[in-house]
Amino acid sequence: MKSKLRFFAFLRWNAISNLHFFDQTRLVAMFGYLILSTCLERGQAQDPLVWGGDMEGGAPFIFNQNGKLTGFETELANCLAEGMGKSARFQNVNWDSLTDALVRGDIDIVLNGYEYSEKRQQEVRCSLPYFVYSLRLIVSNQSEINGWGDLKKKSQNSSLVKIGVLRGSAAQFELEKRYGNSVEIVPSLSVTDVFSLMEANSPHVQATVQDSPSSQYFIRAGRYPKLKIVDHEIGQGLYVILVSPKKPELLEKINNGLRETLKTGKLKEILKKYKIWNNDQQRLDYFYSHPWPISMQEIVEEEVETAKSETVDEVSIVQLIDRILFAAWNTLALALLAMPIALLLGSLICLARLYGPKLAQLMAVFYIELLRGTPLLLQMYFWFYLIPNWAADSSWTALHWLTTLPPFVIGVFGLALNYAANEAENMRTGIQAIPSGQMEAALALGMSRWTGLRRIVLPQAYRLIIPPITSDFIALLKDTSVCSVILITELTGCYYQEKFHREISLPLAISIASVYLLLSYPFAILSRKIEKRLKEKS
Amino acid sequence: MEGSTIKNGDNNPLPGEMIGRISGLTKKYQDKLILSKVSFELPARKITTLTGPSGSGKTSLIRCLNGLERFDEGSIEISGISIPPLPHLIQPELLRNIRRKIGFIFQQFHLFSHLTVLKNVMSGPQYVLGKSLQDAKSIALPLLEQMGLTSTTNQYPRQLSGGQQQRVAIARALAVNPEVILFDEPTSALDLKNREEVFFLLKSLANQGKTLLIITHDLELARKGDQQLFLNSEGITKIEPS
Repeated sequence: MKSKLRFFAFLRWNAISNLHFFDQTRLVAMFGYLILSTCLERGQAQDPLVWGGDMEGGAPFIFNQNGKLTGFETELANCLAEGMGKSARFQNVNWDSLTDALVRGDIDIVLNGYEYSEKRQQEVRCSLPYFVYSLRLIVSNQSEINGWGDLKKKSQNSSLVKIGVLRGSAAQFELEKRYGNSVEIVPSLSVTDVFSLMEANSPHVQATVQDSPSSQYFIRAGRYPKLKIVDHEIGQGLYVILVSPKKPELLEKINNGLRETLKTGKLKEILKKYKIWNNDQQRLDYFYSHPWPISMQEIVEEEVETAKSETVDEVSIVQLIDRILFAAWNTLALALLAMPIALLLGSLICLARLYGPKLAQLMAVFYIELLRGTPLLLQMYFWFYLIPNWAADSSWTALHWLTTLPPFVIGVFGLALNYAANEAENMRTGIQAIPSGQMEAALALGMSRWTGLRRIVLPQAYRLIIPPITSDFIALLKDTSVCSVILITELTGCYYQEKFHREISLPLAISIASVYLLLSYPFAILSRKIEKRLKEKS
Repeated sequence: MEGSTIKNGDNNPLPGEMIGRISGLTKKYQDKLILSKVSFELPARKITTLTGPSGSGKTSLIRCLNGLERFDEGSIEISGISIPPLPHLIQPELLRNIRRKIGFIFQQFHLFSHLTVLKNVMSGPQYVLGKSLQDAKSIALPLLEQMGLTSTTNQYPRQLSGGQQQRVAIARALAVNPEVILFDEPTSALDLKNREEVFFLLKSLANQGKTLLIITHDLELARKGDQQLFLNSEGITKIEPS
C-alpha cells in the first residue's frame, strides 16, 4: 500500500514539475508495477481461509447478529481456521453457485449445509461430516396437513399441495423422489421467506420441508409461533465441507481440524449453543472412526438415509425439454402481459407529469424516480413478501385479498409497475420531440387539449418511441428472470432449479440462453424493421 | 367606432358591419410590454391586413384573438363572443367556441404530419364538430377540390410543395366553417407565382363571406387589403387605401 502511495506521489510531483518526463515506456513500466503490486497484495489477502456460504440461508447457519457475523457454521469456520493458524474470511456467494465459486478458486472451502453424496464427492471433495441432519415437515397451526401422508391429498379445489423448499436442497430432491408429481414443489431462495408466507396464510405455500437445523432454530425455538413441526423426521443425511479437488492438502487439514473439534467437544459446544445438538449427532463418531469418504452402502448400513441426489440416475437435457418449454411459456407470458399494462400506466404517468396539476406532476416524478431508482428484484420482494405479510397482519380485512394473489399475477404487475416508469419517460421524450406547433394547430382548430393529445400528438409520439419500446420489451423479456424469487418457474428459475445436475449444467445454460435468444430475436428484427420504415418515412 | 354594434357571425353581418372589436389590448411578457392599448375593428366579409416592423407584436396580437395567448388588459369581442383579460379564467368550452369561429393559418402551416391531406382536412369536422367519418369526408373533398388539391388527397404533408401545404392548411381551417380567419404571414414561404395564387384565394374567401385578418411583411399583399393597419410600438394606425 505504501508503494502505491509513493507511486501516486511521484506521479503528481512529476505532473506538476516536468510533464514531458513521462515518456511512453516509463509510463507503461510504472503502470505495470502498479498492477503487479496490486496482484501481490491480493495474493497476500488470499492467505486467510476463505470460506463460502450464503447468508440468505440465514440462521442458525450464517447470520448477522448485532453487526457481527455469527451462526454455527461461522463458528466452525473460525475454529477450523484457528486450528490451521489462519484467520477465517467469509465470502458471500449465492447458495446454488457455491460449488462454481469453489471450482473457480474464488473460495477455499464451502461450508453451508451442503449434503454428502457420492456424486458430489466425484465433482469436488467432501470433508468428514460436521452435522447429521434430517428433514422435517412444517405446517401452519391451522393446517389440515398432519403428516407426510396428507401431502398427497388434494385440497378442496382439487389443486396439489404446495410445498416450499430451499431451491436445490436435499428437501427438494427428497420430495421429488418420494412424491413425484403428486405434490407441487415450490422452490424458494430463502427459508425465512417461506416461513413468512406460511405465517401470512398465503395459499402459495401450504407446507414446507426444511433441514433439522432450520426447523429446530426457527420453529422449535418459537421464532415463528404460527407454525409447527408435524410427523416424524425423514431423509437423514450428512452436512460436509466442500474442498476443491486441486487442494488435497487443504482437505487433509480440514479433516484434521474437524477430528480435533469432535474430540475436544468443541463441535458439540457450538451445536449446543445454537440448540441444534441432538442424539443424531452421536452418529458422527462412526464416520470419524472409519475410512472417509464412506461408500453409500456403508452409509445405508449405518441406517442413514440419503437424499435423491446420491442415488438418482444422471439426467439428460432431453428429459428437461418439457420443463424448459413450460418455463419459456411463463417467460413469454409474463413479458407479453406486463408490457401493455406498463404502456398504459406509463402513458397516464407521462400525461400527469406533462399536463397534470402540480401535485400530479410531483407524484408522477416521484413514482418514476422511485421505480427507476430501486432494483427490480427488491420491488418484487416488496410486492410478493412484504405487502401480503402486512395485509395479513392488518386489521383491515378488505386488504386480505392481497395475500391470495397468485405469484404469476404479482409477477406481471411487479414488472408492469417497474417498466411503466421507463415507458413514461420514453413517452415524455416522444411527446416533447413533437413540434409544439402540432398541438397549437389542434387547439387553434377548436380541439380540446385532450383530443389534441389523443388524436394528434400521441399518435406521432408513439411512432417515435416504437423502437425504444421494442428494445424495452426485449429487456423486459430478460428481466422476467427476477420472478424466480417469487416462486415462478421461468427460464432463469428453471436453470437454477436444474443446474444441480452438474453433468448437464453447461448444455442447460446454453439451451436456456438459446431459448431467450429465440424469444427475443424476432422482436429485435421487428424493432429494426420499424426503425427502418420510420426512417424511410421521415 | 364606439357606437357600432358587433354582429354575431351567425346573424350574417352585412358588408360594412363590424364582426370584431379590439379595445385597449395590452399584453406583457414578464416585464416587457408586447402590445400597448391596441384598438381596432374588423369589418365583416372584408380583408384586413396588418403590417409592422418585426417585434411589434403582430403575431402575439392574432394569437390573442384566437385564445392561443392571454392578454393583460383591454377586451376582445369577435362574432359576439367576448374574451376576458387575465386574471379571468376562460372556460374551455368558451375557448373551443372561439376557435371554431376564428380559424388560424400558421406561418409554418403546422399540418398534422401523420395524417394524409384528406385526413388533415377531415380532422376538424371529425374531432371538433363531431361529424361521422362519411360526413367529414363529404365536407373535406369539395374543399380540396376548391383548393385544387384533389390529386393529393392521399399524400402526406411532407410530399407537398409549400403552396400546396398552405392550401391544405386553409382547407383544414375552412372545414370547421369559421367566420373569421387569421393568417400569419401567408406569403412568406412562397415564390412570386404562388403569392399571386394565394391572393386570389384570399379574395375568393372574402367573397364567400369570410372575414380575414392577415399579418404580413409583404407590402404588396398589405396594400390589397380592404382595411390596412400598421402596428408599431406607438400603437395601431389605419392606413387609407391609395
